[in-house]
Amino acid sequence: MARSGTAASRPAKLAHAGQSGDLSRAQKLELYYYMRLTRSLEERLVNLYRQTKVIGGLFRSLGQEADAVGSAYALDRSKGDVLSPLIRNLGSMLVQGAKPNEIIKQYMAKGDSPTRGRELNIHYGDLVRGFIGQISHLGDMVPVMAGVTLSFRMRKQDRVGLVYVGDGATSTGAFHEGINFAAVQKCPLVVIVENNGYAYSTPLSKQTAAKQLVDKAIGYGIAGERADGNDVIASYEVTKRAVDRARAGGGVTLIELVTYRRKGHAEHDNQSYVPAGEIDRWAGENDPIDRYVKRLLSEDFDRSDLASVDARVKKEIDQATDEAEASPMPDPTDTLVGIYADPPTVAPLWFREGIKSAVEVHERPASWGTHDV
Amino acid sequence: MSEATYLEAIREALFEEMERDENVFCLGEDIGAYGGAFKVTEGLMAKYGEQRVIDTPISEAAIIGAAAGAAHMGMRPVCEMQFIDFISTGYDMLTNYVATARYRAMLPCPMVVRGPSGGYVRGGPFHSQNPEAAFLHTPGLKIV
Ligand SMILES: Cc1ncc(C[n+]2csc(CCOP(=O)(O)OP(=O)(O)O)c2C)c(N)n1
Ligand SMILES: [Mg+2]
Repeated sequence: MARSGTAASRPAKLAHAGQSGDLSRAQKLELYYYMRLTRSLEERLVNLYRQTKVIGGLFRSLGQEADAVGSAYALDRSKGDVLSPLIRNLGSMLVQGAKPNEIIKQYMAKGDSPTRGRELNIHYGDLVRGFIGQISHLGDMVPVMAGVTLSFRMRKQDRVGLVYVGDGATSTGAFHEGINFAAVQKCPLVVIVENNGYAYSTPLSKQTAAKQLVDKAIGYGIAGERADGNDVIASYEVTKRAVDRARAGGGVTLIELVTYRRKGHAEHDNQSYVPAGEIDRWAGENDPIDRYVKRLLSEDFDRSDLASVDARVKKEIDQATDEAEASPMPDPTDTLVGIYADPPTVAPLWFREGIKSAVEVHERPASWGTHDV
Repeated sequence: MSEATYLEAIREALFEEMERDENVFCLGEDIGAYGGAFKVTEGLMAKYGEQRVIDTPISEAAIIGAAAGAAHMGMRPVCEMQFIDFISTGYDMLTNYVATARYRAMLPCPMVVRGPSGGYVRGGPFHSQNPEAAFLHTPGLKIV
C-alpha cells in the first residue's frame, strides 16, 4: 500500500493554482482542445483494443492529460524546441503536431504508420516537428536529450529540449547519468518527472527513500520545482519558467509534476494493488479536465465554446479511425531494409511528404567526403 | 609510406576530421587537457577547445546516449571509452538505442564509439578485454 503522505494517497494540495496571465483566450481554448483530444483519442483506442485491432499493449494517460499538455505547451515551436515523450505523454506529442491518424496507425501497426509497423503505440518521432521517439528502456531518453540539447548549445542555437520521465524511471542509471552530464554541461534541458504515484504496480515509497522527487535536483546542482500536474495552467507556468531559464543559459531544471495514474499500467492491468477508494477519490476530486472546464466557465468561456471543441475532436478522431482502419498492414519485404544508411535510405515517410527527412538533411551533405568513396 | 602506430593514426584521423568538419566533436573521460588515458586525443583540446573536446563524467551510458542525441541533430560525435572493457556499462544505450535508431524511427545516428582493447597492458581482467564480438550480434552497428 502507498505510504501515507506519498503522492498517490491523496490528491495533491500544492502551493498555488496557475495564474495564466500571459495566455490569450485562443491559447486557453487550445489547451482544452489538446487535453480533450488526448482523452478522447485514448478512449477510441480502447474501443479498437477491445475489438483486437490494436497490436500490443494500450497505455492510458487518463487523469494525467494536464501535465503533458501544459508542459509541452511551454515550448516554443517556432524556435524549433524538441521534446521526448514517454508512454503517458501522448498529449505532449499532439501539442508538437502529432496527428490522430498517425497515433491510431501506430497502435494498429499499419504499414503506413510512421514506423511502418516496426514500432508500436506512440513510439515514434519527427525531428521536423520536434519530438523524438522513445525506446522502451526507461531513462534512456535523458542522455539522448542531453546530447540533443548539447548540440543546441554547441551551435549557439536558441533552442530548448524537454524530456519526460516517470517516477519509476528516476531510479535508473541512465536517468542519473544523463541529468548529471546535462547539468555539468549546462545544457538547455528541462526534465519533467511525472510523478503519478506508481511504476507498474510499485508505489513511490518502494521506488525511493527521497521525500519528494524534486529533492533530487539538489544533488545535481540544478534548479528544481514542484507543481500540481493536474492543473494545466500550473504545469504550463512552471515549465515556462524552466524553458525561459534554459534558453537564457541557466541550464537544466528538474520539475516534479504531481499527478495520478487512474488506469493500470496498461489495459491488461487490473490494479489489484491499489488501495480501495484511491482511484475514485482522484477521479472525483481531481480530474484535470473537469478542473480546467470549471475554471474556463468561471472566466469568460461558456459551454458552447467547449462543445464546439468537443465536436471538432470527435470529427478528427472519427476521420483518423476510418483512415487507419483502411490502411494496409506492413509489406513483409519492408522488414529487412533501412538498418544502415547504406544501401541508400528508404523513401520518405508519407506523413512528411514534401519535407526533407532528417536523414536527407543530415546525411550525405557535400561536406561528408570520406564516406562514399 | 610513413609508419605510424594505430594510436597515432587514430589521432591523425581525429585532427583531420575535426579540421574538415566542424560538426565532428569528441567526448569521453579525461580526453581533454590530459589527452586521454592512452593519449589518443593529445593536443586536440589545445587546438579545438573544450566545446569540441568534452571531458565527461564517468558515465558511459551518458557518453553514448548524448552522442546519439547530438548525432540525430547533425553532429558527428566520436566517443572514447577509456578502456573498451567499460563499454559494458553503455551496452543498453548502444544496442537498444543507437543501433535501432535508423531502423525503428528513421533517426540518423552517425557516431563513432572507440576505445583500446586487448591485453599486453598488464591490466588484469577488466582492462584487457576484447568485447567486440558481442556487438556483432547487433544489427545496426558496424564494427571495425
Ligand atoms: C529499463 C526498463 N526496465 C523495465 C521496464 C518495464 N517497464 C515499463 S513501464 C514500467 C513502469 C514505469 O513507471 P514510471 O517510470 O513511473 O512511468 P509510468 O508508467 O508511471 O508513466 C516498467 C517497469 C522498462 N521499460 N525499462
Ligand atoms: Mg509512474
